[in-house]
Amino acid sequence: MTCYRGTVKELIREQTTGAPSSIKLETPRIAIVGLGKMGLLHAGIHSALKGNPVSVASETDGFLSKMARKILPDARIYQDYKEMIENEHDIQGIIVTTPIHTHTPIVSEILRSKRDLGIFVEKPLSTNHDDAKKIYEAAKGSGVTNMVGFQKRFAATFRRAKDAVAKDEIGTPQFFKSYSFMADIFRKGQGWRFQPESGGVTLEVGPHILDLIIWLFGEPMMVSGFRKKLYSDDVEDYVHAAMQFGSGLSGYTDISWSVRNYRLPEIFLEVHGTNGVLTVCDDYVKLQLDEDRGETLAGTHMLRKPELQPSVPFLLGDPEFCVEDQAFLQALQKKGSVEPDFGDAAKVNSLMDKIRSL
Amino acid sequence: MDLAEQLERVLIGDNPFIGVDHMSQDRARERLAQLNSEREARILQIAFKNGASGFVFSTHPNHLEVFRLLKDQNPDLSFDLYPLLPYAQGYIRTATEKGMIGMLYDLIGQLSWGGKMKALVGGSVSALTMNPTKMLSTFVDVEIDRFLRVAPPRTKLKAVFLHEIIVDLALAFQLKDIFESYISHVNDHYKVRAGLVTRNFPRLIQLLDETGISYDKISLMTPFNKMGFQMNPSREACERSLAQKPGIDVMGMSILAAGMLNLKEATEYIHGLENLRSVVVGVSSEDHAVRTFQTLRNTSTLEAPIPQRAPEVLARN
Repeated sequence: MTCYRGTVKELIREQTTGAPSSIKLETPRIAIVGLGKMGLLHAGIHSALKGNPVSVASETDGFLSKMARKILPDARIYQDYKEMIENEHDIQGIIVTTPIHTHTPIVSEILRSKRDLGIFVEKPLSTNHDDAKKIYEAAKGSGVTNMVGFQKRFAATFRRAKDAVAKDEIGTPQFFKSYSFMADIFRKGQGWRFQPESGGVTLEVGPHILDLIIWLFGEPMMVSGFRKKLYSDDVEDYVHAAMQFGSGLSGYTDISWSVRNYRLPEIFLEVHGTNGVLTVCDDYVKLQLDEDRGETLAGTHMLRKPELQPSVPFLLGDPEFCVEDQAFLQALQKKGSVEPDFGDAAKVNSLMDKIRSL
Repeated sequence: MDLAEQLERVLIGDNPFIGVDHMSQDRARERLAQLNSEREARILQIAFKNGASGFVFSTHPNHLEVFRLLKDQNPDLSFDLYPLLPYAQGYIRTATEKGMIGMLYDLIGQLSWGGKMKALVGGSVSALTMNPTKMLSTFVDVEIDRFLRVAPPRTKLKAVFLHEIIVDLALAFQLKDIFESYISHVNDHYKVRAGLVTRNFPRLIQLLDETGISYDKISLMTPFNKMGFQMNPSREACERSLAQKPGIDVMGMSILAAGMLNLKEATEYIHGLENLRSVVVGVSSEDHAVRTFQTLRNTSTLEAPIPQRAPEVLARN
């Protein structure tokens, strides 16, 4: 199993020294379903890693698909992903970056093809746990490599936080507070993000913080809280969710896309344990330890992103996207598994279901 | 050659003015809360007085008001303009809220009548013919139009920079046509260098070499700092690419590694990069502007470094 337990520096070193020589020799051929913002990002990184532009994609929107044909004249651009799967026998992996409500039918179709195609799906895996579980079990049964785009797990600061919890540096976690905020919605919006079945702030802004909570502490056994509409008619703009875990840990998260002064989406988590406090966000990880724990001495340790985050082979968006895509490629090559997979993502869907039913 | 001689241009960047901080969003919020158009205009004037020769600015709507203030307060103010477009975050936010069409209406609404006609004709033709290179040119004109109209009269456009979000995506897909078309449009239409911002400098150099584009038509902006922050695929590879290209117009950005380095560390490193002849740096206060630009223009005035770096261990129990 390809599970990365070390720091991002170690992970990139692993990817760019040992395995990478084989990546260069036979980099898996990737197709993209959905050429929106995230589709272009992953297509760009895979093109750069391979040294050749991605040559197979599908996009239902007429304007975008025509534009893609103009920009990439050598690529085969389909408007129907089913046709793409049927005709393209030379691909080893598919990246799905379409609106959330289309993930389940697309992934189901790929799995039905009975081809050994690795699948990467942008987060979240599905709009609900039933669908997520269904495609997780189907993927598990078929044995194909599968991964979901919870790229925060590959960000240097959050990876260091995971190490701190795994190594017991702050002792037994007692409680936490967290948020995921952005300044996006201050009036009624349009499109699938604002429809109750496919949208709302929990599905749009919540997945990363909820995945990190599960990654660090496991699944909560109880969830309570409330949801509020601030600007939207049909979906929630703000969520407060309190959680209790079997270990005795409790904590809460606030999720909103209507918080002023958050130019970029921001995630923050503060964990209090029996040996100190862990604070982590995209910018830094801070450890305040009462006593030495392993190699980490008592005191306050502030580690900022510029000193934790190594260079990557190609930077597009945040560096964690490149590390994530490399991890997927490496798993595809080995025909192995990689975290976070559909099983991990189904847990996030389960938690989101609980929050969306508050 | 001392640093002042090495650096042909020292420019002020706008990141602190628009809430961009690559080390801390909390710090960006704090700084932004203390800023307004009048203070930004004041900091800019202090920067120009202390050796900054130009302003590198995103096409963020706040700068329109700052330009109007500068024009009113100091009509004789002379500095060079280096617009950088698009202001990506603004477009992403508007597109999320209003959809793509709503975003285009918003943009067109901010143009002059001439700009509106140009956008309507140019944009329609390029959309109808699905010509991405023409669409990019129209977009550049539309974006720049509104800023050039309000800039103080004695300012001079020196280059038009394309944001790394577009440059690095085009680089990933090896879209040589896009680069050629953009460069030739800016060269021909504005009679200035076409600027490209990248965080993948060696790759861009490789692609530009393959296209055969003359380096005297372009300026490049890319991170250079001792920590290797945002230098990809590695600091060493970026330094090698720079060393192999004497005469290339490269502006070093992120020279303070988002505040992890002090000015002394930053200038010592830059001084060792012979082919780096320009730098762009953001400042968030009047005092910071004086110290930064005096230091960069003349190392002999270098005073105690501004302590910005957080030590790894802040306190011991």
